[in-house]
Amino acid sequence: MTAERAKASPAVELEGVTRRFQARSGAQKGEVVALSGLSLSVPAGGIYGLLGPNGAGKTTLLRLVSTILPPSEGRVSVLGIDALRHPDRVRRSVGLVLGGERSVYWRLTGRENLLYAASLHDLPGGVAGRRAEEVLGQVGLLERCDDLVERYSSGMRQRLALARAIVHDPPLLVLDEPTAGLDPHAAVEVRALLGAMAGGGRTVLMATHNMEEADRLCSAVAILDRGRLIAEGPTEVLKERSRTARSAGRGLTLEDAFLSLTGRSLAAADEVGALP
Amino acid sequence: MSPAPPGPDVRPAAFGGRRRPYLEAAMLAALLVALGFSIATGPARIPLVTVVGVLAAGIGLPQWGSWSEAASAIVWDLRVPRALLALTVGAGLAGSGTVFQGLLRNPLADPLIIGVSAGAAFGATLAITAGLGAGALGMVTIPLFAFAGAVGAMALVYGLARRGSDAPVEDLILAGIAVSAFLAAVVSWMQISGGESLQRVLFWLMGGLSGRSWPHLAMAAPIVAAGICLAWLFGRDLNLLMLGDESARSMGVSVATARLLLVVAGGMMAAAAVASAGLIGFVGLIVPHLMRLVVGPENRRLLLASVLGGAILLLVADLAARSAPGGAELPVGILTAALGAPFFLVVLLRERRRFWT
Repeated sequence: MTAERAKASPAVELEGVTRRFQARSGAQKGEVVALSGLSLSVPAGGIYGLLGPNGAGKTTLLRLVSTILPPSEGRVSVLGIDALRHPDRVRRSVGLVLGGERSVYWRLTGRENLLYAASLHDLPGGVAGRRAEEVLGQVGLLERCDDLVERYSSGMRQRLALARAIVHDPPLLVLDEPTAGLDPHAAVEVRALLGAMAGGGRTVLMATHNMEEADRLCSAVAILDRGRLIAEGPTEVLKERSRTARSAGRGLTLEDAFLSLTGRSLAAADEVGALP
Repeated sequence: MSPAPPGPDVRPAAFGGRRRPYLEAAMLAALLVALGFSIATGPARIPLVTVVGVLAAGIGLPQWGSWSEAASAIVWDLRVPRALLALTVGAGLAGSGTVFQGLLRNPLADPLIIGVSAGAAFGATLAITAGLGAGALGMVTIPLFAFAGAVGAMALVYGLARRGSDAPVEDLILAGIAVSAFLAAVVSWMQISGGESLQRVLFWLMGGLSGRSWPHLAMAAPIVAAGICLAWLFGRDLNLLMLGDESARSMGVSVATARLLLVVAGGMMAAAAVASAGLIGFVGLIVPHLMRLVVGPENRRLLLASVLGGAILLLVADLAARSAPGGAELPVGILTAALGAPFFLVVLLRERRRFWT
């Protein structure tokens, strides 16, 4: 399965995707449009970043791709599979690490967590044992893999969550803010792993809030704002496009790109753009 | 990196499964011993040989030896159904606690959290204050009313918590607390206005197994058994639901269906237990916690261990309640709470954070 994957077809394709929610209360009572008419193509291989302030629709997009939510309108296809028609096939090809939810069992050891995850993916016993060791090695947890997860640091737990997500060697890895809530040291550890995760032809699709992180890790990004696609393409190209008089003479960053594309800084966008 | 040695260490199907593999067998043996003790002990002194003879004759073996009609009736019509009911109720409460602790992702969840106990109390109180609880008729009407009350309260809680096709965990807990509090108020009012039936109601609410016989067992046992089977079938879904709804959904669990059926499974077990034996506290809370410390968090194995543990605990507690000094029998609910609460506290303080997941 790790063999070369066809680079020609995109890893994820969205066509005219809209997703609405019914808000029951709060300032935005009524219908909330989380994504509106979005079309996007994520090339296979490498790390692809989804950037944008809170409420831009990043998490909604990831949920659509991982078949947790169906789109209200439009078409989502993952690795050439229609996500609406064959959600089970898509789920088998996607590894997922969500923010906010605990994705490992704290009262099991790291190894037991991975063996269980492997069994859920129907890996036979011997293969599962070898595969568990392999991914534990990849995330640098082999030495501590027989300790209970409750004794792990937050960074170790997140690395274990990443290991769990790739135990079935999925061609697509979907991550929602993989470094959010981690202390700086743990965030560095996790970031260091992400490059390796994208090896072997695997595509990583990650949402992030952190412009610097995206700048350093992602080969291409999409910038979302209020449910719309603002810009999309290779990181370098986006940065170049945002070259302005103000930024002349210093190195360009994605923050500059965001600023020039949306007309406000990311911090300012967070304050007004947030959904309930 | 060297490849993992294949061998008995690798048992992915039951996570945590290699911990203490003979535990269930040992528990089953302990259960049979407790059952034997429970049947062999009682205020009437009946020789062990007679007890065994009555049991053998009762299950259709040829009769040997001789005994009085009274001895036969005491063993077969009083002790056997009571012991089996203790087993059933203990299993039901502990099984239900396992389901709700996992389902509600809440270590404080017990079978009574989603309104089961308040509903059962309401049903039983209604039957008693309406005069339907007296004499032989009461043997049937009180459990039936209690069961209907428990199921009704549960349905109300689920209905209140429901949004679309699913009921979020937090809403289930909150609706359960609200409905329980309201029903408790109604029950108190009914007790006050009920006059002389007050004591009967109080006695029922304390929970106990005295005076229970075959009809109670016939009602409770099939429902508890069905609940255990249903919970077992959805054990893997329950494992995944413990990680969160979206994680579960991404692994292919139909979250709304699984949750509804698990609520039904856990609720059925609790309703049958409470309807036949009143409010017996702490068993459903403590047993799953203790078993989780021993067998780990995998819910199918945990369910089995909890069911066995709950059955053993209630058999022993009932035995102790019957052998209380002074000759008067204690309601077993008082005993489980009085001994269970401090024991629970000790374990909790020793284990602290180790309790969950």
